[in-house]
Amino acid sequence: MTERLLNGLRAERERLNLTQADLAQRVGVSRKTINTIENLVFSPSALLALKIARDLDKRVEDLFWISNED
Amino acid sequence: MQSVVAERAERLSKHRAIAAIVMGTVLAATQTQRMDASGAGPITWIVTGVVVAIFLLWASGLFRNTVLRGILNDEGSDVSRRRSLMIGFWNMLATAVVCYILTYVKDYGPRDAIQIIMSVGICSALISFGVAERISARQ
Repeated sequence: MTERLLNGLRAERERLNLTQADLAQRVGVSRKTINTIENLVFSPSALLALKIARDLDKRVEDLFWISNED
Repeated sequence: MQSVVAERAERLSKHRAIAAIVMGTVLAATQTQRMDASGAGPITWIVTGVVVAIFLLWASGLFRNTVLRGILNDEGSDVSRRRSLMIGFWNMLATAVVCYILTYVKDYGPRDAIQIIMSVGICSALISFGVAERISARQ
């Protein structure tokens, strides 16, 4: 069984009418980092996940969750 | 102000990725060419080392302000950097094994072997970093 960290970052960002660049600027990272998180290329650190959640006014567990795959 | 810095970081990051790919390719080509000649002398190695060191210093954003440097070396870039270092390391190990096997069929000295091993490691790390950064930037 493989565990993957999924996220609803793109949906939440689009709901707030933010671009990747806007969000990146607000949390102090590059646009490509936000892009890679949204595309599940890499999992952010706990620090960055908390910063993103705080910036989007969401709980971190509402933005990021674990998916179990067989 | 903040958006200007972000745009600048985006542009520099793109330039850095392209520069890494170009540099890795040029280095690989020149090293391959030198293998046909008499191998790289100490002057060539010093020049190569200085060029790579200057590139790494420029790429790390050492001469930029703190905010810009922070964005340039954020988590995403750190992942690309660690991955490319790992690729370079494993390629060096694999090349060392190939060089060892080749000693049974071809006669060459340790200097040639070191040149091949280091060239493969450095070039593959540079190219893989550039490619990873380019892929990350794609929407």
